[in-house]
Amino acid sequence: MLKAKILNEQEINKILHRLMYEIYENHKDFDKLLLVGLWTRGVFLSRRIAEIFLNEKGIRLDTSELDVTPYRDDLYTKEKIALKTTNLISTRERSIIIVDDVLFTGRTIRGAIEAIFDFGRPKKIELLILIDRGHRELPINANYLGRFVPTSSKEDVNVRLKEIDNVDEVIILE
Amino acid sequence: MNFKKAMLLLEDKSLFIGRSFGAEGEVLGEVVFNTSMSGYQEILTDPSYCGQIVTMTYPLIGNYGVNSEDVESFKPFVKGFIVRDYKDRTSNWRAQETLGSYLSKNNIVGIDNIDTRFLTRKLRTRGALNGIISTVDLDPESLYEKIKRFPSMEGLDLVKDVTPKEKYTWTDKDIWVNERFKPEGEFNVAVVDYGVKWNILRILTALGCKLTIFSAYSSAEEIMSIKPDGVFLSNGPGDPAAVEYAIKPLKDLFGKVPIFGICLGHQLMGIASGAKTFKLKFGHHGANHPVKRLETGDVEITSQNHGFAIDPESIDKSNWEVTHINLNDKTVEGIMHKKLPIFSVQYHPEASPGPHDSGYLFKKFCELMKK
Repeated sequence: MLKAKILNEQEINKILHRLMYEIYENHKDFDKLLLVGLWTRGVFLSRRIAEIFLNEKGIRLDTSELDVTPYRDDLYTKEKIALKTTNLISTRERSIIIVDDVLFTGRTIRGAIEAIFDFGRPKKIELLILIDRGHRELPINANYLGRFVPTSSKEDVNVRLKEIDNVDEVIILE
Repeated sequence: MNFKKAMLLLEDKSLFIGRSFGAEGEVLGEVVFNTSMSGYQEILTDPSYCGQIVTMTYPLIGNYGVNSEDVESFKPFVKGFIVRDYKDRTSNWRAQETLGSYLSKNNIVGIDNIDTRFLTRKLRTRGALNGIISTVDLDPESLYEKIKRFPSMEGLDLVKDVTPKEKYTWTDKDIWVNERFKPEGEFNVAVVDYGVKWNILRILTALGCKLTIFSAYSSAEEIMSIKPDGVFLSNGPGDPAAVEYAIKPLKDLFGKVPIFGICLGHQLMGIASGAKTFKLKFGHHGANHPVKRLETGDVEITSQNHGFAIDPESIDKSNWEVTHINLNDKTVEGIMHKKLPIFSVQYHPEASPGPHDSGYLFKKFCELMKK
């Protein structure tokens, strides 16, 4: 059941612009920078940030896609190794920003960090998150945060993006 | 069962890590997807797939094993095989060995546990991509270097790898085809083999044809020397525009005998008639392609396997007409000469694997030869 609508299209857009400027402020060598979007919605967020970067600053950022399913810590069988990613063939000496929609327990991000290290030793890994809903189970925090939303563990936070959901919004379901 | 790690890397830097089954090694090729639910053995042995890496969109592969009768050629031509879920245990009374052991024996690299839906979506949006599968080199950077050096399928003549060196006669009569194909008479048929699938030969034999199979390099005189009642142009791999040596014999044959072409035979016939071919964004591979027969308005569900097609704009409309179109993307699937007994289709009426809707075309060929 819908409890609340947290963000609409303009607000999401505004946040992404701010996050882009935060990245712009913190980094110098944009050739070394690589945005890694986590499947599914992190991929679209990372593409949007790269697009804003190009429009605002004329800088083309590298983006890549990563599916961390095989790196989850709750898989029953380790035999099923299957990984898919795009444009991540080397992370050696690169500054990486992991992009995802919602930060909850932190376990997905832990898997993503493990996956990235399998492709080489990066110079630095940072985290960009649209919604932080609390309830962390690992010592992980976002470097670039869209919005902190206190939630109860019974609630669900849904980020919906035009690319696959036909609408831009963030809602809380109960 | 011990599985080794294997990697699949595409031209656009998409990387998949899965398990190896089949032979170990490294293969480069164009990655295409096939939408058939079964029939992987026919697909593996289809010479039209020469040089390609095939992914099956149907997830469960290998569950009925491999047998010695379902082959479409003397050996498999696929270079690499990508599946979602490979089954090493067979459950079929005809199975003689597992798919994995068949692939190892024939030196085909297989990779399973791949998200084939994601891969297929990628191929559909990006078009055909080159890819590499490796079980020996697991460094994505060095794999990418190898892909960059690999040529595109366009302009590649693969017929020279699959066409026979000399002419021979087809004698395999034992294998049961389909009760719908009964002898229609006795015909002497010359088959030009650009990479023929055996089921075509089986059906033609069942219809009463005595087959002599010629190499793609044969001249019109050589073919006419056996005094054929009709000439059949087979399917085959690669870019038709690169098979220049096969065009002149076809031009010389026009008007002398009834001609029936399938797949590459159809494209070559198109080129011989003056039309042009082009590379499709992503080819038609599968056993569920709807084709409209313009003459009657009937829709046939067909088996297809082609990456190139005839450009409808370039067809000489005064002498040729389009007889079939694909309902998915409206490309040309069949042409016919307006006066001469010559016709061809882009798809595979012999199925194997696939539906038998289009079997009437073989009977039509026999009707033309009776005249």
